[in-house]
Amino acid sequence: MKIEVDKLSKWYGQVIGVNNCTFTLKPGVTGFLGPNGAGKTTILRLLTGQLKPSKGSVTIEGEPVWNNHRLFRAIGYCPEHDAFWQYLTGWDFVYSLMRMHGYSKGESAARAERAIGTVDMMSDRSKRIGSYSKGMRQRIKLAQAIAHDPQVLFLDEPLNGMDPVGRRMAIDLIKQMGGEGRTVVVSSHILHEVEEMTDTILLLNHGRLLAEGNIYEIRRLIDTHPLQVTVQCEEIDVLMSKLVAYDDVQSVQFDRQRNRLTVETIRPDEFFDRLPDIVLENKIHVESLWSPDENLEAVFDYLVR
Amino acid sequence: MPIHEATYLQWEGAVLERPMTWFVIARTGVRLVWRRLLAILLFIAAIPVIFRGGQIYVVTRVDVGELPARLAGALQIDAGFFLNFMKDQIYILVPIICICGAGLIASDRKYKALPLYFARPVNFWDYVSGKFLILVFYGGLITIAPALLLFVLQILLTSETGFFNAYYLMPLSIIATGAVILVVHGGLMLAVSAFARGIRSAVVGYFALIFIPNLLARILSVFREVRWISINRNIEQVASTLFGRGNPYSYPVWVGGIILAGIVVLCLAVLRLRIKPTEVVK
Repeated sequence: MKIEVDKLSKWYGQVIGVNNCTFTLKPGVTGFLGPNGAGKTTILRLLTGQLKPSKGSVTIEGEPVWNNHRLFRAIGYCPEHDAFWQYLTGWDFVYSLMRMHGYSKGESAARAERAIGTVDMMSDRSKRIGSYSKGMRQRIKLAQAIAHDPQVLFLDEPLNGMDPVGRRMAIDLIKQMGGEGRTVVVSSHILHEVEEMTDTILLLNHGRLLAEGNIYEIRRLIDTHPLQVTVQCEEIDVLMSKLVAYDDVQSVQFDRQRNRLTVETIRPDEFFDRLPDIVLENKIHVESLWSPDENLEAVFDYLVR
Repeated sequence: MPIHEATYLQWEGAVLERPMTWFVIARTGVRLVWRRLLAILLFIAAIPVIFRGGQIYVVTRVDVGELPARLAGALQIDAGFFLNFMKDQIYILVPIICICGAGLIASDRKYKALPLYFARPVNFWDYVSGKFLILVFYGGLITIAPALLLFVLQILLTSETGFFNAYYLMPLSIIATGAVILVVHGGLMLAVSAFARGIRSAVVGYFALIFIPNLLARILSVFREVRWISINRNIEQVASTLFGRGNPYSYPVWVGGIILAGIVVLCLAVLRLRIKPTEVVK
């Protein structure tokens, strides 16, 4: 199913949530990428017909989606939040939502069972949602979104709180559903999560569409952005003297009190290849190493600058 | 480990064009409360029924004429007996409505569960009527059902047909009074639940709306007739008319009726305002 978004805007009083976005979503998986507060959830709610656009339109296969209950049958929605209906069992939760779609008791039960099996929750289906871990709640939420066999699937931060096994399962399922010709939209603020599911992304920030297209194109843009790497070690003078010799290192800042060295490099791959050799040769005891820049927010700041 | 088919197929069977989503919401809610609070509910509901049932048993087995006139009058089974029973049940209904209703909408709002409903073929009326029916079910168990049970008990225990001939319309009065009680209290609880930030504040708000006007009415009525400010006094006024008894208070019954209708309209307006898919503004 093709989703067409034309000059879409949404205001909350004086605050603008979505600002004049135009794009088309085709069958397959599309990632909505943006930092927190970028407008991803608002756009998803506009796309699922829960919010009325202030301006512009959202259509699925040419039909306006706002308040269109016939279309709602073809849509699966996995919201971001998951702390609801604590006293229901996982099975009751999915079953009740299937009944709301208009399926018979038998069909609802069969669909609930199949969806719960798909997300590997069969053994915990009779436990109350209140006793579930965060990852289990995410799985059961995913089950309710896929149980009615939707042609369009919207997943808002579906991997939040999932353990590695759950993440693998969810990523495989999302890819499989996209591969079957469904239109799957996944929102996330973590780049590598989306990268594992799809090549096609939309970049959002402050309610505006910054870029759309192939993730590798975006990657290329991001790669020109100097990456910050912080190293914590006793021998920061030695490390600093070695690192400044390389031309990819644009700047070095140090914090003697905390024994930290923050380096800005324009070629992170080369930097990370070289760093272990320097550390070994000079007997530097690295306590920790991290990149404060590796979050999407920093990348977005760079892109919009 | 069971093997599950991972591929989803379009269902060939019939999907209800207009599914009774309100019924699904109501049934799920009723089942949830039933599992958690069944014992408490049955215990609270049974006490006045047993007491009143005992009264019916005594009256039908003992020659009331031999009792002192005052006691005989108090034990008499007539429209006043059922009216008083319904009025007394309101005070049991209030905590029950709190237990069942405070979290009905407040929790959905707090935990941002509304999108789960409204991303499906569920509209505002489906949602509200589903939630309301949960309160009607449990409220009915406290008010209408025991009153009808007592009516049937009286007919079964008395050997004469005089009572039935005189009060054959009593079930309608019971149902109509129960409906007034449940619509007003249920509507109020839902509106407060939609307005509140959590279950606790919903309970406090509901109690405040019921008991503060009650208290004020009692205090101010020393100076002038203002009992119409109390929700329960208005219900009593309307209920007395429905049972064919005189007005207990000195203001016209239509004033009470209009105030109750106004409360229901106001509650609907609050629900309409508050029940939307949660919008996050950053």
